[in-house]
Amino acid sequence: MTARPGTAWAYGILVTAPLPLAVLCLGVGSSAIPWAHLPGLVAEGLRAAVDPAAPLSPAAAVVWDIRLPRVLLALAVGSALAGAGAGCQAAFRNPLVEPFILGISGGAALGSALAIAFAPWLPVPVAAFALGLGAALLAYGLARTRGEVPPLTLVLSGVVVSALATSLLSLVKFTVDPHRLQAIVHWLMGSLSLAGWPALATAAPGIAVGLGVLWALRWRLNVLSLGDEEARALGVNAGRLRLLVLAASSLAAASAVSVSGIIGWVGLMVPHLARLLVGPEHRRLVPAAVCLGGAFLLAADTVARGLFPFEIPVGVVTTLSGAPFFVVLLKGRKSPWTS
Amino acid sequence: MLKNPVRGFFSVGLSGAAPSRPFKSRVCSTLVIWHPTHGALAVRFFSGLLMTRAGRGRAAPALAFALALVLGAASPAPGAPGMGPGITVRDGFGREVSLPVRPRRVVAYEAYEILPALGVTDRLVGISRYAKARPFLHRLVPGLDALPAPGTGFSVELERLVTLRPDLVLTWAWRREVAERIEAQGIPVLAVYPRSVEDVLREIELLGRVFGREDRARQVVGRVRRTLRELETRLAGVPAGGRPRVLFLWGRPDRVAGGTGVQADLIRLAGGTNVARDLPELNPVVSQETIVAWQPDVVILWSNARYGPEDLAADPRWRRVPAVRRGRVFRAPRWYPWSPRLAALAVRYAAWLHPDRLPPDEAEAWIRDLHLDVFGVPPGPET
Repeated sequence: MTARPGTAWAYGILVTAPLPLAVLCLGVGSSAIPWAHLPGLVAEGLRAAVDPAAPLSPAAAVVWDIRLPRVLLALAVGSALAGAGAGCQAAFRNPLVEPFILGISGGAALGSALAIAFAPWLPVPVAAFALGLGAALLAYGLARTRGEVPPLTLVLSGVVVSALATSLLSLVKFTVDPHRLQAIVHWLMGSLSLAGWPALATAAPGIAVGLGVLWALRWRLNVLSLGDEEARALGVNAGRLRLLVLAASSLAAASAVSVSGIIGWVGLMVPHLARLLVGPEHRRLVPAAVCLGGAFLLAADTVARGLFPFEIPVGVVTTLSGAPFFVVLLKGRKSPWTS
Repeated sequence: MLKNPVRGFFSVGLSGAAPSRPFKSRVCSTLVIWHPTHGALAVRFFSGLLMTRAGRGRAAPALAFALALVLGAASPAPGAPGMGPGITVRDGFGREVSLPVRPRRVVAYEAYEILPALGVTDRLVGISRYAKARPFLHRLVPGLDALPAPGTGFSVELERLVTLRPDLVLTWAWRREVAERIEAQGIPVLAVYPRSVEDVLREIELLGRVFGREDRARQVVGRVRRTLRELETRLAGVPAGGRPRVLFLWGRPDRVAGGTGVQADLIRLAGGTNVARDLPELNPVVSQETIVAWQPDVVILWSNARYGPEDLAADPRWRRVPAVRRGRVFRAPRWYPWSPRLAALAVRYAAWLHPDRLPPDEAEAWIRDLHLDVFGVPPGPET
């Protein structure tokens, strides 16, 4: 498929946008810190990280301990969700699919709820990650019949696993006392407010591996989107490739969800947005979706934490800002996946 | 007179050793407390705090430790560097934490109705956003409007919090990650979760120790106990069959105050019988059938419940409940039960349950005197 004129520009802007945006967002927060001071403060934080005896000024503590990990985590989570979304949409050849299609969000929600309600000794990210990925595996296992995994069956089994997890979640929510219930509800809303270096260290490896695999497979995703028969004609084992793509997407999405809670809309909308901007060709779409997802969630989280007298849930910002924007783009252009 | 079994510090309960049915909240609450080893791992991971603790299988030493705390034996221990001597206590998560003594910059997501009683609101540099919605607190804390509010106990806004440079954060034991994230910034956190009237009184005494106001804390606790004692004396003649059957409802009309918790204690102190006393959970959900079968004489609604007595009266399922039939459904005043005002709540409840023995006028006078002695101001018109 040939790129429209202008998409090269769009692509260039998309993949370079996260860096300046990160610098911009690093300067936003409740305590006024001039942008000019940022390099010095980051350097101070870096020194303190290397040498625990080095002093850390309050401003440097804010930038290094609170803002920087949060900015990086927003980038990581956003890019993971969007990249996984692009991967899943390609694997299923279906634009309605999102990274949580295999029940990752339902499983992660159940895991977090179980940890909060019954197993306080278990770190919530661990439980969320384990059950999120477990749900995806279960969905895949259920869909597998005689060595084949038909995409439609896989979507349906994902729906079944999601429903199962959701009903178990309801059961947990029903049995816990109101305070723990509040904790579960807050986790489900999705937030980056507890972001710190440990959270980043928890999520980053899975996200890096997942996105790395998707990036390496970006050529083959094009083959997958032709359909299984055509893929086979081109010498590609579509079933195995799909499994690989789904595993990578699920790993990235589950890692992201484990630290952020469920932030909806990014994984569904951003791949579409990227497709509208750079076209459906996966060599560009995957990096574009990854960068746009990171930038979008970072911008949304910065609005959530910095623009109001108090913090608002980031999921509210992503949906409120993303939905109208998406509609405008959708109306203004010919849809690229129907052509 | 507050018949409290050896209930551990804040949330540490005997339930740790009690055989219990699995998958009941009592077990959960127990796990919160006793689970220690892996929790400690997480704590180390996040905040680098080193702590030793008894494992789950070794509940006895932990219980002994809790007991020691109950008896007021909080041991002096070296606090964090630069903070001078501190005290070590077991918090609402069952963790052992070191607290600074005489903190000067305190952020209170909790206990904001205790600090005024101790006369230490000048140490506040931040307070829960929820606190600002309390008219009573505005009378106690001059400049409350201008006090920064770095979020709430539910949603801590870390950057705002750290910018305030607090040397102690008071919050409630809700999500351990929240406390750990704050501690990772080198800020000590005291997270509490009182499960009984005695737990609340212990919290007041603990805060007295932390703030160097032991005498005042003793006075306040003594004053609270005096009211509870007077209440007990007044209700002493109530025959066993004369205690109204009371149902306390939380945010939804099927979540009730179970056999443990501050509300359960208050109902008992007010001369009532909690219809849900046999349910060991803190706040269980029950079926409408159960409620009808309980036949409560009085229903008390949580102050923040979004439904009122009129909603119950209009609901056909509630029509046959004696309390609704006789119009004995009351909304609790917005007095914080985790504060000295729990005694005022007990008095108000008693006036509802036993108007013949404690006429409302007299009850209001008791409540007013308690407020004057503890806070220096009357309770105010707001409920």
